[in-house]
Amino acid sequence: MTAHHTLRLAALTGLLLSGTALVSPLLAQATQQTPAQQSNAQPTVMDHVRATAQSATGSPMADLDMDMRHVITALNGLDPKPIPKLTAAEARQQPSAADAAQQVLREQGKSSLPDPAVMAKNILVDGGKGKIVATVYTPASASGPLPVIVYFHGGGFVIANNATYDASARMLSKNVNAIVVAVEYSKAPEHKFPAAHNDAVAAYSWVTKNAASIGGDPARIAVAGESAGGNLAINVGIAARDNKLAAPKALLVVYPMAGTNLDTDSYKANASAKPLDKPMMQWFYNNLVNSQADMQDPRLDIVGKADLKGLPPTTLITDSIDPLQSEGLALAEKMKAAGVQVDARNYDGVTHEFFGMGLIVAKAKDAEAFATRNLGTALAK
Amino acid sequence: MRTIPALAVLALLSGTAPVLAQTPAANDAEFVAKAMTGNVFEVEEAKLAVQRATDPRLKTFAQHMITDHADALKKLNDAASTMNVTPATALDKPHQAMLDNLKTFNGADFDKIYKTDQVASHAETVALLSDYDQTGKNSALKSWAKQSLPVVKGHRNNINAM
Repeated sequence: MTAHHTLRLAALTGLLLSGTALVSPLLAQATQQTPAQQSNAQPTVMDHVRATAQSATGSPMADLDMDMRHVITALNGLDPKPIPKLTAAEARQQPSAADAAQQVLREQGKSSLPDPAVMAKNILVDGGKGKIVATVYTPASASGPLPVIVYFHGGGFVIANNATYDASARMLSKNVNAIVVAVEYSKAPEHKFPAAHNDAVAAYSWVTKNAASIGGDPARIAVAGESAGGNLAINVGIAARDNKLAAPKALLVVYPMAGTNLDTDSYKANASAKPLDKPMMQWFYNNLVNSQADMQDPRLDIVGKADLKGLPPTTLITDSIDPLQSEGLALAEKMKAAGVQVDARNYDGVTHEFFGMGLIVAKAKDAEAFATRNLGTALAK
Repeated sequence: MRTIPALAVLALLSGTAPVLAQTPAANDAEFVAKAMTGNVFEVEEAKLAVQRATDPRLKTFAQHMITDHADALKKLNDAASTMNVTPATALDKPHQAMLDNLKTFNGADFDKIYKTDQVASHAETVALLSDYDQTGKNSALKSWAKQSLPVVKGHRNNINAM
């Protein structure tokens, strides 16, 4: 007998005893189960109800893994307003996928506090125009110069900050045993394209010259990023090549914004996916660019226009319930064609933002181990 | 709710429950200690900001921190009075390191670091209070966490918007 059967039995018992409509005890049971849920992989009754409804309507969300589904359910519970209807300032106040992941940890009786195995401090580094903030993450047990990972968070170049992506940065610092320098690059629309790109390159250049001042080994630097940050990571690799900066030892690129075609197969299939949908992407680009001409810039249309020859070995992670999947897959192919050493993995059943959720989503844990292994190898002495 | 232990047993027997390494939520004493540390940290950084910040919005924010946290700390001490917890007088290592780091900045540089420190600190405080609000055992502490959450979320929204 499975847990699910037990639940249905309990719900039926409730129905017989109370004599109320079937859906009421089902819903009550689903709600009550959450606090005592022992594993994020166990389906709740509501999961089955939703999966059936989504399957019938052809929603991309029907294919969610159970543990990822719980994160998306928690996000819905936090009641985020649809970003395309908001100003940038309002959008930045909305609950994030990271908030939902914290809520799932809580429902399992676990701490949602930052991992104490990693220390964080904020410093100033070079930006495109003047100094910008970077958060330096250091393993609490660190000794001797460590390799450095320059990390760029996601958020469509408009929303989110280092605090939103704290879990990813801490995870990389702890697992790779590296200093992570998370760059708080400028956001649009206050700072339009290419402000973030200029910040990213200047910050990387700063790290190549000042790694020792933060306990890092200047000979062992990698660049990583998620989503908009994945775009920045690729562009830093390109700029290092073109501007004769010290080349990163490796790139880690997670579900990047790698193209400006909003009509790819994955955009069509995941136009209404969560936590990232097509209207959000349109809104991000509208806030980011000065004019439609920017959409043709090789820094944004990487898969269409960028020269990728001579880039460092690249680990590329994509996921299936994500408008950005097609451009991520296309980027992997284009890099391979340009002779770049690419190790690409796609994860089905999970969504944009799954990376960094390794404590509660099995495939995130797998993707994090994959990234850790590749960065660890590239950054070994 | 009688099905819950049965569910747990089933999960263990069937091996479907992955053992996750994440720390359990803070217990009562840990919660009080962390909440006091967080309070002291935010007040200490605010005292510096009142003197050094150049952005008047940050100065105002810092003044609010000092006022609101004095109140929060008093109420926390009341809530914890039955618990035989010694109020925190020193910061833990990560918070002391952040405070020492902030002291090295002046002018516009100070503003940038203070703001980013406070964004991170308020994210952490919201997580701490939310954890206890939903998983805590002591009713006095729980009601303190519940009362404090909207105030802290308000601070968080203010600093995130700057």
